[in-house]
Amino acid sequence: MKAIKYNKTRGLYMEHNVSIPEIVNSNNVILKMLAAGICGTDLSVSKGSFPVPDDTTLGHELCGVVHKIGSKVKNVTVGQRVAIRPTKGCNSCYFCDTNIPNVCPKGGIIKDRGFGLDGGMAQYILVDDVDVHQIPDDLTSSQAVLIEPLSCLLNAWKISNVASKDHSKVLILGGGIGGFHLLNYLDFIEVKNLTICQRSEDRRKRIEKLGYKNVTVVSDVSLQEEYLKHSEDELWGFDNIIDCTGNPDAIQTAYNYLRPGGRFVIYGCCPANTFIKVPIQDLTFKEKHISGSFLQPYTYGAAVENIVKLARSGRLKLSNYGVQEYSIDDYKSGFADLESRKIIKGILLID
Amino acid sequence: MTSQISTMQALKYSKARGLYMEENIQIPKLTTSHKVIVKMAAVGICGTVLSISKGDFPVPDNITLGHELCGVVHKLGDDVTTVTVGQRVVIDTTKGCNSCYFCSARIPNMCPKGGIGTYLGLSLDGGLANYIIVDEVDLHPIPDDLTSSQAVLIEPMACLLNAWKLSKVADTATSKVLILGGGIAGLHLVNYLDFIEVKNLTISQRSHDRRKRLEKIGYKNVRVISNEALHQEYLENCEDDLWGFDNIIDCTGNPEAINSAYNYLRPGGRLVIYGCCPPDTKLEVPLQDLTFKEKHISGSFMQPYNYDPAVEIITALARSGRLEISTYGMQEYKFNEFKKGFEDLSNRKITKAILLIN
Repeated sequence: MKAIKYNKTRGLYMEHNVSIPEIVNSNNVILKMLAAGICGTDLSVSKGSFPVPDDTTLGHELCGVVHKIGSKVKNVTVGQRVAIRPTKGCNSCYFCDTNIPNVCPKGGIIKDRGFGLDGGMAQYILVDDVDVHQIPDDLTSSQAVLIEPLSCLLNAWKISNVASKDHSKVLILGGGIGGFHLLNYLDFIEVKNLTICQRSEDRRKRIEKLGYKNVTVVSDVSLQEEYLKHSEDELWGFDNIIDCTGNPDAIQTAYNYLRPGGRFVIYGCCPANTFIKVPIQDLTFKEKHISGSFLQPYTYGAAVENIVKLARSGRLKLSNYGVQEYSIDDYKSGFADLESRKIIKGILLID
Repeated sequence: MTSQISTMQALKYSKARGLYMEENIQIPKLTTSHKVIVKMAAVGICGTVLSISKGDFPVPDNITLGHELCGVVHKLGDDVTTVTVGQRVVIDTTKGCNSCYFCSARIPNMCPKGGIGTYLGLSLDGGLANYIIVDEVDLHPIPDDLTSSQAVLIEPMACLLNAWKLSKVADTATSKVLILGGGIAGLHLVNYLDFIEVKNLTISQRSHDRRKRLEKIGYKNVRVISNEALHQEYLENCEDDLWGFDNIIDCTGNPEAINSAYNYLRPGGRLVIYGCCPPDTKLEVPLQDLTFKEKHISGSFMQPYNYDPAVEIITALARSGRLEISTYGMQEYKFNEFKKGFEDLSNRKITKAILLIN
């Protein structure tokens, strides 16, 4: 079969003669791939700035059809369309026990398909029965690709621990696929006071065009100006800020926008060796909180449900999102368009 | 029969005079029907009060200090129903406005009209005086077998309970918990956590004396370590994802200690900063690590109405013999001997001074 891989010498490349995976354990499932998303992290992998083992097949945002199942598989049958959860924990360590399998030293990113294990930018992939979730016929494969990113955003939202959907002031930094997808979801679940901050005018326009009622769209420049006008006013600012930029400067600036008791969740992936300098007395006296958010801990099922709801309420028309489909053979265009910011996500359609 | 005295003393601070005892102050009079006048019995002096006395923590000029308060109900407003004259009480110094976002989000300690702005002894006159006037709802009765000096520990316990709640420990049996600092806060916290059977407790303390005091108490599940030895261990194990702590609570207010301790967090770990750092000091957090290892950093400030559990806990600790004043390096002084109390605290001879009033 063919598969899109990365290694340090060749960079991103398509390998043509990859062996099709076979059932190994009785709980294995082999999927024939339908669609795989390209996200910002995949782009980083392709540029060598996110390390993966040499010759790993990329692709962790996945939709496929059940092709073969092991003898003990009971939750799916051959021919069913499914979304694929790319990672899990070991189920037997402190971290898995305390509901953070996403940071399991033996699971998490190490066993994340597309990063630590071969992923789904290929014609077939081998996974476990617990990793597959059926999707309804009215959900397209491309829409299903958005399940994995939503599962990670649901983790960030959970960590945000918002006090009140009606009264808490929520700020999303960044209107790329992360921020956009989160905004769409939060508006859907009726978070009332949403602001999204996006540097580029194009991306702001895309969001404004959607006409969300409870959303204020601002540029980083105007947000900073507002802050400077109100820096003496304790009531100005946000109770919950979620960073979807991975930009250390944006993150450093946004710390100042927290209200007392405010919570800052950093979902975006920053480069190595970048820092936020937190003023400790302010953090303490104003009881602020800063958290990282990484991958997803048991939120995949909820993500499946929510993507189906979003699609059925007309909130997942991909062209509105700046998401574009490419055939797997045209993968280079997908990565290039993402890099040049023509799109906010590419989806590879696989035969 | 009733005292004819209508003036009292109060311990105050002003920029010009520093710490001083003011004499001949009018004893407060009842102003509304829900007010209570409390005759003070004991007041604790903590590190913050010491900072105030040195001019390092800004307060309104001529404020009466004291926020760790125990007294006896002296006079009641007409509509007071929940306490009676002669009852021994502690005083909750947190007040929110009850009508803002922060109060409704259950963080009245952050209320812009309450919180620190209405804290007794920090923004409003406190209890280092013979009498104080408070609201009925601020009072919590204490049992007869709890001494006034032990009761003074209820306010710090209420604040530590806030830090502990923010720590969100996953499992008291298996989570690895580190307390930074063995001064009064760290000591008090480790005492409580050992009591509730947190099994994997480490406390790091720089000075030999304070480590000795901890070791002398002989906690079974507590490892006492110097900050150097702890850092050494970190350096030896920094490649090991399993080394480190799931919950770290800083009780030092020392920025260097806090910056080092960030490195001691395990994946998913939570650092709660309870200690008060000087202004303009920073914690440098590596962003990729914070995100990829899903770590959490929180500040903890004062307390959001934790007096009910704090009274219960302090009573339980006292009844199980875990609150001998001297064991914790605390010492009592007469009100008029306040200078010695502040000095001994400043020289780290003691961990807390308790002024006995009246």
